[in-house]
Amino acid sequence: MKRNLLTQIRSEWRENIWLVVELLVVTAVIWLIGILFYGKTKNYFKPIGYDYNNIYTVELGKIVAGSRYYEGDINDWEGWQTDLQELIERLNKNPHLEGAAYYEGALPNSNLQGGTHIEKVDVEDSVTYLGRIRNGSPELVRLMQLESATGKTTEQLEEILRRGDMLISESEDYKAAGRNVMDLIGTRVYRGEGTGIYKVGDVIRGVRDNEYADEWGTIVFPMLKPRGIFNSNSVQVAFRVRDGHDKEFLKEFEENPELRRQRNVYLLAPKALTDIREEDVRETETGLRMLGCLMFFLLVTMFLGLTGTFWFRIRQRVGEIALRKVCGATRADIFRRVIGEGMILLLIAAALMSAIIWPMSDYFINTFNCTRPEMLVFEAIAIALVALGIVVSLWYPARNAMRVEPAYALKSE
Amino acid sequence: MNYLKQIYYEMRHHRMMTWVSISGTALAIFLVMTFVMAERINTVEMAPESNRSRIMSGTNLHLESNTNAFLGSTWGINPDVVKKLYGNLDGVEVVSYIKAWGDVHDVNVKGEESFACEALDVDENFWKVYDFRFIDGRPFDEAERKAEVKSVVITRSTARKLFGEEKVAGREIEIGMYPYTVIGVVEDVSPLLGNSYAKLYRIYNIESDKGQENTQWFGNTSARLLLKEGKSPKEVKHQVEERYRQLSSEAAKEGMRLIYHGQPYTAEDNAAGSHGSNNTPPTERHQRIQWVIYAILILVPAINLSSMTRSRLRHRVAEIGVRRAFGAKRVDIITQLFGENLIITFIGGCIGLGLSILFLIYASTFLFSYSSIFDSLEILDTTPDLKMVFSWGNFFIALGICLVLNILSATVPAWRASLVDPATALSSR
Repeated sequence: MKRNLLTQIRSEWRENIWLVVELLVVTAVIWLIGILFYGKTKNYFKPIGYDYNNIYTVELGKIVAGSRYYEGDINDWEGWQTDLQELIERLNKNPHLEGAAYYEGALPNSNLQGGTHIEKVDVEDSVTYLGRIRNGSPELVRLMQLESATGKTTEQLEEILRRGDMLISESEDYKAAGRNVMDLIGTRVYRGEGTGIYKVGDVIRGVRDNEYADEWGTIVFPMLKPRGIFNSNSVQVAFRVRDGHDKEFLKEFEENPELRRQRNVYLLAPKALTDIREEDVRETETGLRMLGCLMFFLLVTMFLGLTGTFWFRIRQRVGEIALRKVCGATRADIFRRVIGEGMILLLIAAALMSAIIWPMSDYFINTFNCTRPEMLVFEAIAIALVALGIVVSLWYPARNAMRVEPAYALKSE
Repeated sequence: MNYLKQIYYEMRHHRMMTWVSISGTALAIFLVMTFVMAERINTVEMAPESNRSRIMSGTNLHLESNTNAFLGSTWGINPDVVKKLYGNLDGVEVVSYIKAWGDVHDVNVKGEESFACEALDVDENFWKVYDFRFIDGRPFDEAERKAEVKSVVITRSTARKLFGEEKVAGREIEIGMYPYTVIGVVEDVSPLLGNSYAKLYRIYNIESDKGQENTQWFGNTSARLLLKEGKSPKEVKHQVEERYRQLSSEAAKEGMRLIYHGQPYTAEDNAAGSHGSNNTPPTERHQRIQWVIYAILILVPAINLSSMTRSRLRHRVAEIGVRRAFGAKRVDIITQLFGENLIITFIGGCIGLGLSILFLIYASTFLFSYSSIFDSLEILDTTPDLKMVFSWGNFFIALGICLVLNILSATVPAWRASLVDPATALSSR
């Protein structure tokens, strides 16, 4: 039976070769989409290290000469810094808020984003710690709800920043280089000759920009004074509203100039961090949906193609099917034969695909950041999906073949 | 006429297969055209970016330490540096210097409630690079820019929101608690035209901008260039690259170097996805990926249609034999089969094109995101309108894809069917 099937497939090689090419392309693309999809979403369920709910960010505005609100002679760095600190103090006293802080690049999608390395000052070590810079005033800890990896409380973490020490997070890269980040607690570090020296105060849980972002070290530098204020919009303010107090506070914030303005410094309209996060991940999420749509489209196209091709084939083979039935083939045998033909074509396509992708496995591993077992798993998933597609698309033609009445089909013979 | 009738009967006879072929083709054209048109939105030429193919943007400066690979920064460009990089380039008609990033300001009429508005700070040449349509007033000029007059150009919808009417040139508003005079009102700009979109445009005077403190390299400026007709962006890029090299040798005295990332950018560079300010836009890679996607989206349905056509023609061997016996030439057989297939492809193509236009107008944000100077959900949720999506160019692209699909799927089966020997074909019956 199987041999007969192979002979039949060979005799129709001209048509089958194109079906094999189609199955090869569809399986390969589904495999590739699977790998890409996995690569983009594998971090999704890992903790992001902070809570973005109830946080609002605010940009700073400067009132200049000519405005009816302008208060003269206080347009200097020191004046602006004092005024901003005064505003932060007022916000921190507000009963609707859990905390307010000023920061530079600490929250996702901030204007200033950057990374740096830090190295030990007193001991020479070829391995440096790499991380994303998150500068902020000590209240940043309660604002972002940063967590200590050594069991310290929020107040203790804030106290560390207040005395001018820094916080760093656990880091997979640092660990992979054979170092323990806990050993850095209490050591003096800097970014290189001529840069400021800080003491590492504690280790915190790593903070990622969003659910899709890779894990990277986090370095929280203390910002005891809001330096750089009004210099290229780098300093921003954020506050965390207590659960359920959003509406009340936002109304008060809009109506009470005391909360928004101190001499020549004022706060612009607040923006929810949940919105900023959504803007941040929008491109990734539309990309993922696009991959899903491509996969769906290819399966539907394959379904239409196989249904169409086998529909005509079965109509042509009515006589042959009738003869088989006369010779004792059951309805199930006929059904299996039609489905079997599709499966053999898929096996040929899968073998060809393996012959193409596995010699190039190093390229795929480097390009898509996956491992060999992951490649294998996604190959199996792609083949299984296409096999399922074949069963669905051949079901209708196969059902028609099962129903062929031998006497009716052979009457013309 | 008989010919069309025959095609009609053939389609009715194999009703299911007709639907399978038409829906397969429609799905293919829908997807290909959705991708093609979404990509073209990034480069579509419409006011105020009617000269989009001639507009380039010089943004961001990437400075790295020669000794410490970890020390590097990217930021907006210092006013002096931006002039050295983009001023007086051969082949450039106009240079506009603008503030590198847009700001959101509280805007209100004195004594009224304020609302947030996206603002760009631009110079007088901005109005020459981009062809805004003024519905009231005028743009500001060089003298006003140099005098740093507190004038502002606002859009039609901003004028309506502030004053309830559009002809408001000469009226006063407050931006960030500071009084400004509205000097002109322009037509609204689609947020999808990311380089010119804003709700109000203030004066930016490069000459009074001191840049960032403590550095001669960074600042708040970027440049927009309008190339002369027929000038290639590549030529301009070569000149800027050379200027980067010269400036980099100046930076070497401070132990730093400037990294060139393919500036100034074309609309195609900007469409290549967000690449960060310290990376070169992956324009060629992006275009290659697009071509691979188009190829797969056309190839898979073409193979399907080809297999189906081939199977269908085997069913019609006897009919082809009779035609040949009655004197039909091979070319007649090929033409008829090709024509039949073309009709199916064309019907499917029209349905697919219509669906892709509807999809882009109503739901494009489900699959695509467009870049803008401003980040806001309102902008990200903006879908293109019919003017942006439909053009005759897009129609002809769809027609071309139908033809390619038809050639790929029908040529071989039609040619093979024409080879049928009448005697053999008829004897098998």
